[in-house]
Amino acid sequence: MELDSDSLNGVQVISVMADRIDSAGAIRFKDAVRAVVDEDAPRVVLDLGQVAFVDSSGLGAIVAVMKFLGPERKLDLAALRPDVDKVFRLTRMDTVFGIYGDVDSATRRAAG
Amino acid sequence: MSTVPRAARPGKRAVPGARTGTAAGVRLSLTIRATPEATREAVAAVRGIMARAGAAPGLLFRVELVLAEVLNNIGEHAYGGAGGRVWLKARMEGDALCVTIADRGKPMPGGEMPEGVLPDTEVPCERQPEGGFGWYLIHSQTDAVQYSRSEGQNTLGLRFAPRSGA
Repeated sequence: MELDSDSLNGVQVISVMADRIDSAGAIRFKDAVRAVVDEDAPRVVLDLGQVAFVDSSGLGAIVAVMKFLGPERKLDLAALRPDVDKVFRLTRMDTVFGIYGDVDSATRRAAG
Repeated sequence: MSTVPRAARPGKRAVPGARTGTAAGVRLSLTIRATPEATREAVAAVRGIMARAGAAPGLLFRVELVLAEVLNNIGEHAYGGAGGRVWLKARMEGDALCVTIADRGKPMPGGEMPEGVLPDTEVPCERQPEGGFGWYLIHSQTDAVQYSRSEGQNTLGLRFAPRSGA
């Protein structure tokens, strides 16, 4: 799975360049994120702006990434499209992640 | 006196279901392999057919998500990754979309479908659940689910009634 990685205000922003994180792509997603995570980044923002669909496998994979980062490095989510946002709210996973409207607000907050 | 049958009269011909957002006239039948890749293609295809038939975005979301969860469960649990066949049929009954999904894999444990209780998320990071959401999503996004096992076949019936804003 293709990912773009950027650093903004000391925050690593990982953009998922795929339209689905589902059962067919969940393992590749986890492996790809683990491969690009910067060990020194204090915080990681996952930009889901390209992702139109997440099922429970995709949700589980995002939780797995959060656990991989460990308690010291926070994983926040940005730019959720409506159907993806709904899956997080329905499963109450919106209470586990910080969710931001866009990448800018997610990274500005960290800088302030 | 006109002898033209009502249905054949030219003139007003709205997109089916456009008024109600329920995908009126949808009737489809698919046979797929229970693999993650085939599931991805099938749910996207069903969504596309329903969107063209005029289904509201909220209904498209519910159908795509629930079908993905059901088909993934069949692939993982009923067929244990062996990629057996799944038969999917969908039709409108009045305002509701009714979907029947059948497979010839293992029966559900205990002969009953799981209740679908949401996993506890009020736990520390390292204990956050990575699974167990599927049946909760299936039950919460449908209006009725029925499971039966007969002659080596599992049959799941799903009903999606219109919801406000969906």
